[in-house]
Amino acid sequence: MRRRRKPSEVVQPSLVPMVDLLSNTVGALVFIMIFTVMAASGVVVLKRLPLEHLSSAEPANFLCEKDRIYPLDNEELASKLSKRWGRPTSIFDIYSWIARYDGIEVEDDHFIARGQSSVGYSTYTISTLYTPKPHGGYSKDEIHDPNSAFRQRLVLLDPKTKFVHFFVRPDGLDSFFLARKIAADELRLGTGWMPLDTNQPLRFSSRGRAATEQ
Amino acid sequence: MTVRKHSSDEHFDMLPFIGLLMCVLGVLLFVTLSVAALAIGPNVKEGWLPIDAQQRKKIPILLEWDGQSAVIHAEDQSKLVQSFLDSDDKNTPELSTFLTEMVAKRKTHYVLFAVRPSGFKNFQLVADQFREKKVDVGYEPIPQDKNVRLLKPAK
Repeated sequence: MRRRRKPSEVVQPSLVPMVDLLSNTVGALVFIMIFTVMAASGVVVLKRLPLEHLSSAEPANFLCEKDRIYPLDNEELASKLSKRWGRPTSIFDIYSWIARYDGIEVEDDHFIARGQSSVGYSTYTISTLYTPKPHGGYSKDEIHDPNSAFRQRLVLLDPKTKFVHFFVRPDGLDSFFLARKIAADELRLGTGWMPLDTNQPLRFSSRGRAATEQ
Repeated sequence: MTVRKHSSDEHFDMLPFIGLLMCVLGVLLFVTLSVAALAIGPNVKEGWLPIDAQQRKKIPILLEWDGQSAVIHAEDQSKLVQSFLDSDDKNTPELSTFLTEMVAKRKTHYVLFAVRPSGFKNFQLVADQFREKKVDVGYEPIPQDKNVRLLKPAK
């Protein structure tokens, strides 16, 4: 007797791997979405909100520019300028002496200080222009180092008599945030800052704005 | 010799399933990219949460300054006002009103400036308007495209 041939069955491929793939992919994308939505809703930054206040502490100045931090030892540079400037030889030499301040230059590792003066009829102005040196200052990577020269400078400051003051240019924001974090959070020093526009010279004069702690 | 014809019933069509998969992936990818674009775009906000709220005796009123206009964040509302620096008229109504308000409550409030890099050049002129009226000020730089808001500390 001839055996009867079985009718052919439809081959049903298993959908389980496909569903697994779909589920995994959808799950991963949903996870990314949740993370992104949380990020898009805003970043919460814990901040000690600044408020200008009077203090007897003197500023230790730094310039934040081009993502570098330049320590400005203005007192030492002013002292060097003063020595080079000399003194008036007599009371009749006063105006000439003031005029001689214009153009005097001294420098340290980070800045060139240049005296500027002008004499008018019964008036005069004296100021000092500070220009950072091209290879001066510290990079952000350098100040991260626990033994960096920046930190060593800050460690020497007495919090009762000194606070850290930054002159900040638009291209120095990141370095400012980092440097201030080290000064305020790690070394518990008072801080303050002053904005400087890109082309605004860093100039100290007797009639200038005083640095304030915040 | 006979050739057995394949029955069409034996073919399992995966195309609708793959199509569905592609649609779902495409939509989710689109949504993800859109939200990511928003996240890194100008609308992302940075919320400042004061960590020293208990020590502060004055309440900050946030004012964003970009060099030309100010955004005042007061009473959960933001208000964009033009500055009075560009004109000789120092009585720009909105900012003058805000200045008058701040003078009235200077013992309990102060102005917290969020200064954008474009506002560095003339920020001190604006701040001086408040300092001259004995209104306390504080200031903090923020990146040019980042929005900011002040969060209320938990009580």
